Amino acid sequence: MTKQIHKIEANHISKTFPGVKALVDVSVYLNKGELLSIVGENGAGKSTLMKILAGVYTKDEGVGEVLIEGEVVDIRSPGDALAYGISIIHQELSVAEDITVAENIFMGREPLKNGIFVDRRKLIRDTQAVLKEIEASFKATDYPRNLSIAEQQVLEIAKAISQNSDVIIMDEPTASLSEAEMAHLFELIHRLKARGISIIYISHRLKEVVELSDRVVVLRDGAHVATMEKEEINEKDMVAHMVGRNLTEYYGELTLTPSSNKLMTVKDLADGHFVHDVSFDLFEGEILGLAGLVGAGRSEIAKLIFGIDKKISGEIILNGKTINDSNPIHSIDNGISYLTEDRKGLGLFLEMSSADNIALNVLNQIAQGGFLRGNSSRRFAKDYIKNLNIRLASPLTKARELSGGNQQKLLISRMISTQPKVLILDEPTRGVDVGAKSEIYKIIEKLVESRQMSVIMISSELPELIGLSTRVLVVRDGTIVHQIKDTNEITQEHIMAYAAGVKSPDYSYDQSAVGV
Amino acid sequence: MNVKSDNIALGDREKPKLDLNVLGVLPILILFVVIFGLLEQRFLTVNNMTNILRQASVNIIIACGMTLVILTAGIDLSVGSVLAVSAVVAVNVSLSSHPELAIPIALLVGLGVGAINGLLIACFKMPPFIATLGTMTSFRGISYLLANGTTVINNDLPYEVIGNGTIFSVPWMVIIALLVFVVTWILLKRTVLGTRIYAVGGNILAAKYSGISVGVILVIVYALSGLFSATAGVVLSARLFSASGLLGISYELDAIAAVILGGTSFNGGVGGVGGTLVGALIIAVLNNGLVIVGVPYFWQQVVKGIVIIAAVLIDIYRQKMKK
Repeated sequence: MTKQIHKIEANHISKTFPGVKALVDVSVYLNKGELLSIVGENGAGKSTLMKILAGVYTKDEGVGEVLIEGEVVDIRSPGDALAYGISIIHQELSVAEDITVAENIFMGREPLKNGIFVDRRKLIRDTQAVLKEIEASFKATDYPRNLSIAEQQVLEIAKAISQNSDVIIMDEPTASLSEAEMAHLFELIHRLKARGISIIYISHRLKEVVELSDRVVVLRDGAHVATMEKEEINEKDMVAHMVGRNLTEYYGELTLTPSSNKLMTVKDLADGHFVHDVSFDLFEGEILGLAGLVGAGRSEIAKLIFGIDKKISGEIILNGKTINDSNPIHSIDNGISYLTEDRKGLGLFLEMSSADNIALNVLNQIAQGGFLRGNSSRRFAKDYIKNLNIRLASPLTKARELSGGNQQKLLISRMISTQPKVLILDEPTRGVDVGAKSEIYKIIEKLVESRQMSVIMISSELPELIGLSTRVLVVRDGTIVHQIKDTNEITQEHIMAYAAGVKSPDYSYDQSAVGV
Repeated sequence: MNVKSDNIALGDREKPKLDLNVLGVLPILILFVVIFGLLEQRFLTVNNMTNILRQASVNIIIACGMTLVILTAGIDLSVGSVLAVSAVVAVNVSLSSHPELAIPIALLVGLGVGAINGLLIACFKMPPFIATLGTMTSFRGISYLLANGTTVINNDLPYEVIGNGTIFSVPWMVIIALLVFVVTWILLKRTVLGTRIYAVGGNILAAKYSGISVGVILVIVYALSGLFSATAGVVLSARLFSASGLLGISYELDAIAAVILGGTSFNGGVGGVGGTLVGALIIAVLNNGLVIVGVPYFWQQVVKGIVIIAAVLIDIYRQKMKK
């Protein structure tokens, strides 16, 4: 590395947790107005590095140094980091929803009148100035409760700017954004860069990393494996560095041949306010993709089928049997499983053991008269841990301690433990690293190929939806607007044309679905 | 696949070793026993130890139920009032023409009023604190009414033995408390219901998504808390040959203290009844030891409060260190 002075520079940083080396001798640097991406699989050490820069963790004593504009600095707390102009925007946003945008932005440093009273007028004025600077779509007096995730993110960026931060760390900022919102964010990032703000960017979405980065640092197993400068950045090499080998393909190449036997029919499903007129068939041995933008209603449709939300009209017929009064209990009994998109919020029991997390839906089956043995769950979970290649220290390891990919495999294990006929997967690879992703794809394909179940898959990552689906339904505004039956026609352009409403809805699929 | 990142993140060598956290506040209990033992030789006698266990037994019984409730991220403030109602009912029935029904009826009453708590919380989505604050007040009133505002006494109490008798010089009270403890332990660690209690407390939404009838679990948990309080009421009335509306006032606080000392999280889903037993014993040892050592009554209160705060602080600090 040159002796040039960088905006921020971290040299030979290590971080050791009891028993684990989370980060070993990692060096990164970043100039004014540049964007540096840190990529790597889950557990590679990205977050640890970011948290050291943001003062959440302190690096190992004695080795390495952090320099800001050539000066060695000692960052020991988030307050220190802020004082040096480093802000972090966490993946899970920390916005207080019931106080105004202005109060959020100036929380803890409100402008005062007479030393004790909050100067409301100045508070609003200052906030409005910051919001204008970044062309935010909301006002200082709005409540974050009414803002979208994307807007809340902009709020956090506004907060960082109001704190005069010139290094902003963004942890998975696009994880829950729609395509349009992402485009907005990228625009904002360009504007921030133009203002001389340096950005450290963490993302699993390599495409956007290629698009945005001036430099990419790849971490693997806590070690620094590569630094790629602007001209060298490409998706293939990044993946190769991340997994330590060439990954020829993400998706398994099994050729699935759906049968013509109808497994499930959904007719005129509606929830009374958003989802309406949803009708489709699901065939045996098929992976049916539900495509659409975030907010199009895909998850809502899935939740109606699963019965966690109540339908007001419509029919669900599984194996020729109409399911009345659907709720999760009946659905699971009838053979419908739903993998939630919100792994931590709606799926996992973080404080419970991995084994219990896997066995939770089959407790009655593995118990005798309601009583369990001390190792009942562990014994049941053993096969799943092996077959799904779940990496954990012990089946008793708490779910909280696993990486995203392994947490997801825990949930998938639970979903298939009840041997469902219909498995609905909602964003099955969100926040999951590349290696685990391709494993999850293989698991899904294997299950479907062996005719154990059919899958309805919702995904915002079009490549995976295209790669896996044998048929795609496009959802927009709470209903199905198009069907793509020919796998050769399942392309990004084709899907987006209908998902974004460029092409008007094509309800012709409906006739074929009803079998006219 | 040869991706090692996850193993690194978890720590390859991190075998499930002897985890100090399993011990929880047990060292603190031992510490107090040793301190009091050194300060006053009358403390560490078989007689006094039996005494401590007897004094702890009512709180252990109530705190077992409270553990179940707190594991679901709830709270049951009504336990002391339920205890009073059941005790009065038990003594009243023992004075009637069917004295043999005293215990079954008292226990059923406890189960029933506990279920009312559960229904308020599960069906009407009332916050547990509010629901049980209300029933605490009402049940207290009912206990006074049932006792006609006085103390009901039965000098020929048919079940008197469970309050005063012993087998092999172990008081019946203590045996009942340990039985309740064992039943609760088995319920939590070895039954489907127990796992579901942890699930509901740990993540109520995920529990719904997993097809768990959250409402049913809550009703069962509060009903059990009522049943255990009633058990404590029966035991206490047996000890006293009597019952009144004044029984069990503020017992909920000792029970909550025992649960929290025992490391069960107020947020639900984390903890267990083993810790609660130790917590209840710490409180009993303090109560007994401070008296024996001769600490003035008001100071006893001060010390007890400080100990509870300090013990929980130590626990929080230890959890942090672990991370």
